[in-house]
Amino acid sequence: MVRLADIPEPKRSRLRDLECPHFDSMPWVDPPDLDKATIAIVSTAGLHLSLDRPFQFGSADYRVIPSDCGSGDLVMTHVSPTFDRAGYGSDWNVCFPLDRLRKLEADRVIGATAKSHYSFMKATDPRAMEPHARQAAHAIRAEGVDAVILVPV
Amino acid sequence: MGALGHYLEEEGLATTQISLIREHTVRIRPPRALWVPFPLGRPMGEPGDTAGQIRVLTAALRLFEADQGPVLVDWVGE
Repeated sequence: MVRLADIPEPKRSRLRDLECPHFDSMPWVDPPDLDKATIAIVSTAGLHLSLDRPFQFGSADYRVIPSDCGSGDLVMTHVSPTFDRAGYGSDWNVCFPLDRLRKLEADRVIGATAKSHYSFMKATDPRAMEPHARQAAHAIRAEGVDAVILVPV
Repeated sequence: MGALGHYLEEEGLATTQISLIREHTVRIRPPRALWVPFPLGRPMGEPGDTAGQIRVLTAALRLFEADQGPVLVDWVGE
């Protein structure tokens, strides 16, 4: 088990004291039944196609990842050194569970896997990501996606 | 991660998420979250553990069946 209390200092204090945005409202959208829903992955692992622009310090924008890509097509240019990268190196599903989502589609647990998926870079202040996230939401909805699984790193 | 949940949901997309730092998720209150006790960098669990990753993913997606939020569920494993 890994909990905040198990993380060594000074990382534990940094994470504990990290300022989090406050939200007064609770947005809520009811998706279709899972076996009819089209699902996209949104990662904050700083993933992108190898020919796409790398993430830089402070990058608040996102990259689009086509659903037909393979693990060898992606690179991770997240600026933070404070998380394990070895797991992703041996199995991309650890951070980007596209193969697992495809399996749920094949087993008819979900309706469909989205045509595109998205990645941001978590090291950036989430408030700076807001306009980009809203823009991404419009692009995601335009592709007929009903619901999103957000995967941190 | 939780902030993205707010922004995307406000734009009409239903969201569920994996939470790695439970304390942050409690403060940000995204619509739906599954807290997992995995190391930073391994939100879906162990590399190569196909069955385990599918269980985690399915558990996060099943949060879409909730009637109201915020929903924060702790992963209990097997």
